[in-house]
Amino acid sequence: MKKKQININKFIPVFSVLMVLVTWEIVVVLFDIEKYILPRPTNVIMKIVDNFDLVVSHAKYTVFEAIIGILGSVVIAVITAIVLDKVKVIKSFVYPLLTISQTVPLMAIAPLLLIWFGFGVDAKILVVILVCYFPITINIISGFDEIDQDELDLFKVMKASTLNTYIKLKIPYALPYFFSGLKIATTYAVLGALIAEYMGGANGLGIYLIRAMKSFDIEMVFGIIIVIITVTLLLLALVHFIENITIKYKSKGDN
Amino acid sequence: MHTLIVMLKMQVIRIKNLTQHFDEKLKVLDNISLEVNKNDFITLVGPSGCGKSTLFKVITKLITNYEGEISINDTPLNDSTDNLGYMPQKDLLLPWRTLYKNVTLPLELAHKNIDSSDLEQLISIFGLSGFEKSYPHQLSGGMKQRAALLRTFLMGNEIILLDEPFAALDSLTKKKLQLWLVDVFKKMNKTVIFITHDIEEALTLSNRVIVLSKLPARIIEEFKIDEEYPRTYDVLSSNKFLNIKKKIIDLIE
Repeated sequence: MKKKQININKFIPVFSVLMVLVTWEIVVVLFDIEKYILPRPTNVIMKIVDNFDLVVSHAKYTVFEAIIGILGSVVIAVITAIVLDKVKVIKSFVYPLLTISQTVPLMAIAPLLLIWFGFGVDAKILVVILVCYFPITINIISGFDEIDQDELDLFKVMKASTLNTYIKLKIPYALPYFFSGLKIATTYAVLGALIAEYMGGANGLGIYLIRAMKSFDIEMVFGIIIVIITVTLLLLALVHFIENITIKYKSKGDN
Repeated sequence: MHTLIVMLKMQVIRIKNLTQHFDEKLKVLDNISLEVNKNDFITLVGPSGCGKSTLFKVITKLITNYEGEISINDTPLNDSTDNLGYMPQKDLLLPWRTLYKNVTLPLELAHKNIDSSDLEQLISIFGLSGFEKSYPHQLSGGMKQRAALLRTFLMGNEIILLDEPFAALDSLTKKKLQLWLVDVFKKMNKTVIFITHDIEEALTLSNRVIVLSKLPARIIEEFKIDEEYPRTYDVLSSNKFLNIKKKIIDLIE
């Protein structure tokens, strides 16, 4: 009985998406809307299918930039968080800078990065790191900050080394926080890669999107949007999967 | 026999004129002197927030700004390398570790090994057999406390500091654990200092009840209780015990 309910809950999002698509299709047909204003979802999907190889070849770049960017952010974020946690003076020094860095508009900084680092993939990865680094870092830091002082005291009384305190207490404790940061970062990553491609380059869904727009291929524009959504959702699912195999102790009710 | 026991009595903790200030204004501990003998089960009772936990933090070197002298097994506290068993108010079990891994954490951190059959026996004494692979969220409140106690037990030498370990439990579970605790710790030759604000708990458990004043904490009275264990309800409701209880209540209030 209980299992059945969970299954139904899982399908609710699928239904809601289907409902939007069906309504969209009906509205376009019913009001006879021109396809260069709002194409029918079925046509959009046909368009993706017809140009599948081209879509995949561009998507490969975007996904690559997003994944490498996320991985780079994770490495830098973990190092930053541990350094800031270990040396509290640095924390009060760097934390405001970190926050300020996030208020710099991406639209301004992305072209600069392309100018400095060229129009290749590395500049795009840098843009992705720029947007992903912050949410991961502050989430790990708040994880470290949330640890019960009594627990830290207990480790001290047990004469745990600094390394062991991190490996056996702080890092496992901060892991759920890390994953919530990572999920936010994943959605930012694809967006960051797209904006960077949009600024200039030869490959990627961002470039493909500009081309489709410039040739008023509205069906393709919508097609690319759907591909972007799909790619982001797949990356998120991957993060969820990694989270679930990493954090096994979670009770079922917590999910 | 009796004289022999007296002669064998060793002082494992010696505290002389201990005073501790939280800051310039707030004095927490006021001139506390206490000698803990081997195999004592001492309870410290006093109003909540009276600085009882601070005393533990001084003994475990978590707080170092104090005046006075403390020695552990005849070594000054600063030079002492003894590992004390310390259990703060919460169970502090790590949610990502199984019960077994939680309990053996102190051994792991100290790179110590213990014979696995000995460990199995301990787990059984602490009533945790069969739950080794369970995670803390799957355990009852009483079990979590017993697991935390076993972890404390494996932390080091014979000295065990317990800070209101049963405060969060319902009274029935609490009663059961009290009887069990006395039994286990007597068998294992442990020396215990136990903080509580529950006078009945103090009378059930200890051979010495030390009453502390409200902030700054001073020792205002000590009661020696040489009644045999386990102390049944009849013993606890005898006139002698009720008298002590009344005296303690009067002192605290």
